[in-house]
Amino acid sequence: MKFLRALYLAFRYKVCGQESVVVPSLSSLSSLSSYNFIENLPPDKYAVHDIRLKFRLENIWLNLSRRHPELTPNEVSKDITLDRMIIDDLNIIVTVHRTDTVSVIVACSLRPVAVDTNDLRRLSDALTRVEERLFTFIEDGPPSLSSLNPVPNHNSWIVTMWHFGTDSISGCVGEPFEMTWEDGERALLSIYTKDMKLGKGVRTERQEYPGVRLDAAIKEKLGT
Amino acid sequence: MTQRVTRTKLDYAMKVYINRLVRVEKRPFCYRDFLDFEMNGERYSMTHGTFRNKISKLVRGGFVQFEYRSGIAFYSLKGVHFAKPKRGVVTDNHTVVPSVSSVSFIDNISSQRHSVHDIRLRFNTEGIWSTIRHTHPELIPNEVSKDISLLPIRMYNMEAKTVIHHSDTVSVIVACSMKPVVVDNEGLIRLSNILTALEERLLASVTGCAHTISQLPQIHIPNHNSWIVTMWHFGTDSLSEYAGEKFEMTWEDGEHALLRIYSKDMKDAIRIRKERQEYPGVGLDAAIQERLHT
Repeated sequence: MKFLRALYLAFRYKVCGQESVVVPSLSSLSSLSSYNFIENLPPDKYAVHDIRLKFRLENIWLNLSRRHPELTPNEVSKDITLDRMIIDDLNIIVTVHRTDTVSVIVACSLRPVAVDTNDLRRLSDALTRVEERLFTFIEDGPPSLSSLNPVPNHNSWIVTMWHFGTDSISGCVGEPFEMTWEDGERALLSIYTKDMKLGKGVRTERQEYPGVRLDAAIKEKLGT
Repeated sequence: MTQRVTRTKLDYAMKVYINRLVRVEKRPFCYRDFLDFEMNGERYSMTHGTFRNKISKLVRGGFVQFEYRSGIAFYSLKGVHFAKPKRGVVTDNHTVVPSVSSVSFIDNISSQRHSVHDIRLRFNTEGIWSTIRHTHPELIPNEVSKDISLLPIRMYNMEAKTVIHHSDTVSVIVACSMKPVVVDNEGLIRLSNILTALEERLLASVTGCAHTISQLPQIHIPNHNSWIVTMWHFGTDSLSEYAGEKFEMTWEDGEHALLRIYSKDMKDAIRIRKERQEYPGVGLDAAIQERLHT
């Protein structure tokens, strides 16, 4: 871990051509937890991406399989996967499991959700659309404007996993690379080069498993 | 004949509404109250000129009386008086302030963060009236205006009412007086969410049955961030409770905005609300951005 940290900092200094990063002594690294490790990096902007959520809705699987015979469940798992939705650069896949658990994956690797008002609104609005479209789909018809949506509010969905970190926007000129390791908190740390809209950059991220409601998970990050 | 019936209906609605404002809400009224109002589930509107003509008749007929002028004219029911707002106000620690040397006293009340409520938005989308008429025959348009009122949608203690006008303009009113939208992360996301849900429901209403979840709509419902904010109340509620008599003061500032300070029963406590009735006239996104920097 210490070795990789030093290696990474040296790499940024020599290969990526960014502003000088002073490599701390190895002894000073000993106190850095993996969380601090990301926090202490120069953040261009904290963001989350590859967000995985889940919630339960009684009888949703049965409803869907009855009302939408065109949706063929997976032969083995019986999962029903709905059409991919692309909302505001968020690529959303909804899978309804036979256990009535609904998994939602929000892929947004090219435009991660920054932890700021505008982007959190973008994510929240997109998930509201998922709620509403799922409702329309379950109902198999336009719901009345005042109908109560049985799909639980997205703020109560459980965040099972997401990637939290920063992207370095300044261009990286070196060879592509990737380093991954696990810390003591069962979180996976990765540093890798990423082709982004604005060019190649270095992404530093921590794969986290919050296991709490979306609003609580976001509140925690806002306090970061 | 139809016009006469319409006029009579509007006159009747106006009288009932005046009674409600004076006897229930216990406040005088001005022309702004009648530009767009709702009575028994129906919406009514009139211009400033129409209001003046009607109010003159009502004054001559002894139904209402002129109360005072505070930038604009205020009226009340005959025999029900409201003093021009100059009386003393009891603060939360029961100190009587002899005269509200208006803003100085009010400005010293510690307040919660800025918030907006009674938000009115509108947008235009071609063909929406006829489409809704076709897909929802159960929704009967107003006999006169032809407006189609949709049932309200409720979320996060807010209520969004939608009216589709014959001109294909859609008006949306977000009522959230009891829990105003605080101009911060959580509040703005809450507001955005209810408008997103409304957008989706409208979309579903005009597209009919969806066969696939990602089906494209035939009628374009613009993103709510582009909807024009025609009016909202922007202000603050006092942090401390207010223990005095109910009061209300209203005046107009130089920018045609109506300023109001009044005691508001918030269910948990009575607080002093300071608000400015504003007419942003810009898209929701721009209006919010402006307020975020307040």
